[in-house]
Amino acid sequence: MSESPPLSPIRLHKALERIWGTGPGWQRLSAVNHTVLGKRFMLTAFVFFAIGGVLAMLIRAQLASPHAAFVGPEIYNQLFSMHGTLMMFLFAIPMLEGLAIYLLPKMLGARDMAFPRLTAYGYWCYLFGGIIIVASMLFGVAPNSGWFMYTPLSSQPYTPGINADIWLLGVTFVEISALSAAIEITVSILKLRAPGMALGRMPLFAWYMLVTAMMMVFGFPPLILGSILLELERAFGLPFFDPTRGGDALLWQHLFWLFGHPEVYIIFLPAAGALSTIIPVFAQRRIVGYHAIIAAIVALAFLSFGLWVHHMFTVGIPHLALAFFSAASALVAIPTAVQIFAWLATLAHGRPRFEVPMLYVMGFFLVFVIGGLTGVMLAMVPFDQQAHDSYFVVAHLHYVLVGGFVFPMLAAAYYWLPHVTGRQSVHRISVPAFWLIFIGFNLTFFMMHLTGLMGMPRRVYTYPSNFGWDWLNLLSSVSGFILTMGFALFAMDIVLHFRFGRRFRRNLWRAPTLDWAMPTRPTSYAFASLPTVTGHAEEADPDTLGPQLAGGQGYLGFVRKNRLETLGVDMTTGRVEHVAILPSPTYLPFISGALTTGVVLAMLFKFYIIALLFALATFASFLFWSREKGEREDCGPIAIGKGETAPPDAEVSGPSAYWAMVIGLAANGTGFAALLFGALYLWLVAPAWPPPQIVGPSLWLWLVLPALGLASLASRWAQGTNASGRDPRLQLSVGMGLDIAALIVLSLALAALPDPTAHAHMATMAALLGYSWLHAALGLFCGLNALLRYRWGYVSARRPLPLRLNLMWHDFTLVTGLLGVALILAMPGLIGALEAAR
Amino acid sequence: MSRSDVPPLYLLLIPLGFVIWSIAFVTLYAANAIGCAFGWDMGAQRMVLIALALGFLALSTLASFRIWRFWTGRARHQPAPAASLAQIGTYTALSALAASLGTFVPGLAVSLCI
Repeated sequence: MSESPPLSPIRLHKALERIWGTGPGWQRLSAVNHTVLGKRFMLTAFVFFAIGGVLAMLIRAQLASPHAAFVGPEIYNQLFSMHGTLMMFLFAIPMLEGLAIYLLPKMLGARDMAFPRLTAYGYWCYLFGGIIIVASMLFGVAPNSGWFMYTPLSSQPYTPGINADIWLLGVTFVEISALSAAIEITVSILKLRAPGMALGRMPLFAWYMLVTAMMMVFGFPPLILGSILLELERAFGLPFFDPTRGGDALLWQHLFWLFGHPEVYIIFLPAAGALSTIIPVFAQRRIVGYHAIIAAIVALAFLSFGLWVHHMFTVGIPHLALAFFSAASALVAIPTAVQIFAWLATLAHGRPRFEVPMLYVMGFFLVFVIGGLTGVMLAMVPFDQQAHDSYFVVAHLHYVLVGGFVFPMLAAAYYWLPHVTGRQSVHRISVPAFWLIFIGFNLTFFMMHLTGLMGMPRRVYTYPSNFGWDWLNLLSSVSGFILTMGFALFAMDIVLHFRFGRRFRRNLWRAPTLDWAMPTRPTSYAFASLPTVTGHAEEADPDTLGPQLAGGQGYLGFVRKNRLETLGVDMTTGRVEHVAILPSPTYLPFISGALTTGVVLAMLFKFYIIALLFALATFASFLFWSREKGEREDCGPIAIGKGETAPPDAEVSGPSAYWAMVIGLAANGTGFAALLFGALYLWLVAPAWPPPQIVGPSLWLWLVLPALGLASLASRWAQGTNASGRDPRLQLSVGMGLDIAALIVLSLALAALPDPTAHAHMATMAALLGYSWLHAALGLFCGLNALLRYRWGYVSARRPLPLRLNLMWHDFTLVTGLLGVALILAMPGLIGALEAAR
Repeated sequence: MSRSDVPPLYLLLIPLGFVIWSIAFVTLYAANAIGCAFGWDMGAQRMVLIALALGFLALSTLASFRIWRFWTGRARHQPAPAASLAQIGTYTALSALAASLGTFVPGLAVSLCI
């Protein structure tokens, strides 16, 4: 296929904008563009941040004086629970996702993320889930068991309303959205980069986001699983966390903190990525220790998973385990320090310009280092046992999170806002805003170190006046309002920026990264043509490169068949591998998001039949996604500019969708591993064992593996048939029939189990079978998707992707089914062995 | 289309040292929990844990050495991207080894069960 004749820069811009742009009015609901969605994520996150901030003010108003009657204990419980939930789940994570979605394609030299419709679906899930959670406050039924939802407090007998259900379902909804974003970010970084951008040339921000996204892939599933198990306990009485029936409240803490501690670093790392981008620009030199920083963030990612128990030092754990987790908690300071020293060295060896973003960078250094040092103090078990659940911990976590995320994000806001708006900040009130925030923050939270050391417990709505806490609390509260004034000034500054900011042409800060090699405000397609990277991506020359790319002198500097095209590259070398064809704006993500919201709301009000109908409608809507995208014919390599060719994504062995499935299955496998851990943990540690009745092998249990195995074989058969150029519909239909057979067998095996509400043993065995049931059902959906894709002409021997994905899913279902059934069969022996030893 | 000079699977060598560290961490924690729940003799349990820790340390050392050899060998033949990945991979493997020493060795001296 030949290239179209070259267009002038203006005509090229108009032609690209016509197909990449989002229409006005209601068409905004169909947006799938990363620039639009990245901004929406960040704006929505900021709104939730503001709401969370108001809640913080209410908390401080209550704590300003002893015995205050501003709010009662129930409202106070809702206030601190919602404050934490909003800040962690509805502000920090979506803000970092929004930043990544907005910036990554631009920094990597691509036109969009790998799965634009998934970005849009994730946004709608986030928005609707957030609205559900926030709306609960208006009805007085907001979550009230803390943002960590500890059992048994959050269990049905102690929180009988829907408060905890709102958290469990709403947060799970938002977390699934975050998980999908993590998969998309990972694949986008690995596959959609500018030609020549080998991994070792990638900007540090992309490395940070890659590590962060992988942490989300492995960190979120334990929480999602824990939330599902707790909701199952609350709604149906399966006693996973009830110690009187073989459950254990500590299992929740393990599952929560397996997510919760890495979460701190998931929040910190993207902010550190922003710092690693901003500091070299203002230091006017390349960052010091590029490779050491990457090694440090990999180390940080792993170590952060190895210290989840440091939140549980006081629950009664053997000394040896305490020592492991204490050592890991202290060690994590080292890779953090590597980054701090690299940034300081960059400043020391450069010629720093102290503009407004750098004020916040300096604020970050001071605040975050204090938070890090108190973190090392809390890593020491004897100290932690003294300070646990006191205001010292509140002070520490705010120094780490505000220092490690909010200050860098404010620096990032001032740095990239001109990129978003095309205007230069006025900066008249940004300096006083900074000082109000900096002074207000330190006076608010430093005092809490002292009240904590003096013994003031957290999460209590009042306090007596005779412990010397009064003036410290009053100072904290007054300073909290100073802090709020600072944020109000910041918000006003942003508004004024839009109104009075001066326009500038290109590359305001003289940055050496690709995100500035484009018009600002950015166009919907980001680059009119894609750059070639021959050196380090952080040593680009946007001033020269930008006009060249706008003139169509890079790759794909044309419009072909009104298709949205960008380049896919080899993961490591950055060599061109394929042309990724992306979807046009569509309302489907909005519709799917709305239907998914229906599932959540119906479950919240316990209308399970309606929830099932909404779930089926959601999956049906996903099938329509499938109908819209793809190539209906084999076309072989096509021109990409500069006299080169590359095949379309459907015709290569490793397109983005394949890697998304690989990473998605890794996340899914992590959730399954957490389920296995839960079953074994309860067997080993929980009280009220052995169970009154032990699950033995039933005929149906034995038939589960043959059923799943045959479904997997049929998927393999269909793929082989397609590979040989024949019609695979018969094989796919057989496979779907076998999926239905597997569902029947699993249903009968579940029915043959003893009452799962009687004991955690039965409940965990039911959960293992339920997991396989769900996967067999989704396998049916995968088979149907492949069948329809074939029928619609999107599948051939050269375009086999739907069949490969179908096979991967079925193989995964088989392997997890095998492990699940093996554990069920092994449990009687394990229970017997433990009882014999006791 | 020719195969990649540095196949995607090789990227797993970057976190390999820490993957070993993670497996060691979970194994030692689980062994400790199992030993306490089953009431193993304290001396025997400590020996099991020390043997496991030494085994993982040896594995981590070997992995670090192999990873260093692998990446530096690659870097000689193909400067980009292998040279960068060589540095990152070597730093990460050595960090993992240091983390193994720091995490596992001191803890093995303390009391085992509650």
